[in-house]
Amino acid sequence: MSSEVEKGAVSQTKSKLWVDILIFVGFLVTMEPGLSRLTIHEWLSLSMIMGMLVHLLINWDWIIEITRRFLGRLGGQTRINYILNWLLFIDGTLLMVSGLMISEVAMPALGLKFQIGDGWSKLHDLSANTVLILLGLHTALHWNWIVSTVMRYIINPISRVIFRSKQTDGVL
Amino acid sequence: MKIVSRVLIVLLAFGLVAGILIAFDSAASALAVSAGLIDGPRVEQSEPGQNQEQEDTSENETRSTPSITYMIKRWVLSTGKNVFVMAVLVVAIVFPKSLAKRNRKMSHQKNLGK
Repeated sequence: MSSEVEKGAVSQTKSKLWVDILIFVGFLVTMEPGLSRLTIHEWLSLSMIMGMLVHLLINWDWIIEITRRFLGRLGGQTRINYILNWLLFIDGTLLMVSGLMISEVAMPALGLKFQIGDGWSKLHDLSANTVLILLGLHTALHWNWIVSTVMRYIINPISRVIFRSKQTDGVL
Repeated sequence: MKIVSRVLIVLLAFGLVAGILIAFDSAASALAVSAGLIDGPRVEQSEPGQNQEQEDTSENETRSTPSITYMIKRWVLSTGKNVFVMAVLVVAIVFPKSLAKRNRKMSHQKNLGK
């Protein structure tokens, strides 16, 4: 029973890691609309809503736990982390909504075109830069988890495979 | 069922923030128009096809296809800039934190030695 629970925790951590890596790579690609082309930029950004949704669902228990305990006794770093996550959510929403408003490819393809002023474009740029900073802070606060998980599930297995193949070469 | 309700909660929160933003924008722009700070939305009417022709010619004038190596170089540079900004923030937070942790550990060991 306990090994099953352990297996579940391991697979959840693994899926968390891969979802986060995908979101990070997607974010880096979408941050350069001039180079990834507007079509890729807009559709990839829309698909990242799914990524964010999965990220939130995986971390749901933590969100509920901290929301309940927020006004009670809670560590300083956890409190900062929680507030930062909310800021990231709000800013991400601003980024997404302003992006939908100024969309030239995705929204017209869905039959929607908004009459908008210059302000949405400026808001889109501002919220994108703010997301970059907030994401940097988010990464910094989770740095220990990132390093240990990448070591455990990516670096160590790869180095084990390399070491094993070297050993078998030595035997042969 | 549990997952569906959670997805709905997230989408509701998303919709709430988006709604507040759009309402704020509409109110602010209506206020600015009524105060005469900006012009109201204009409806431009033109011959069908005239607009398209203009767009096509301007596109031909301004758009030139850059080479692939130039695009890759620019992409690497600008993505590197974004990663650098994040890395600076990570170092600025993680390094002092680990330093403080090490100092705490050392002072604890010193106290144990005494």
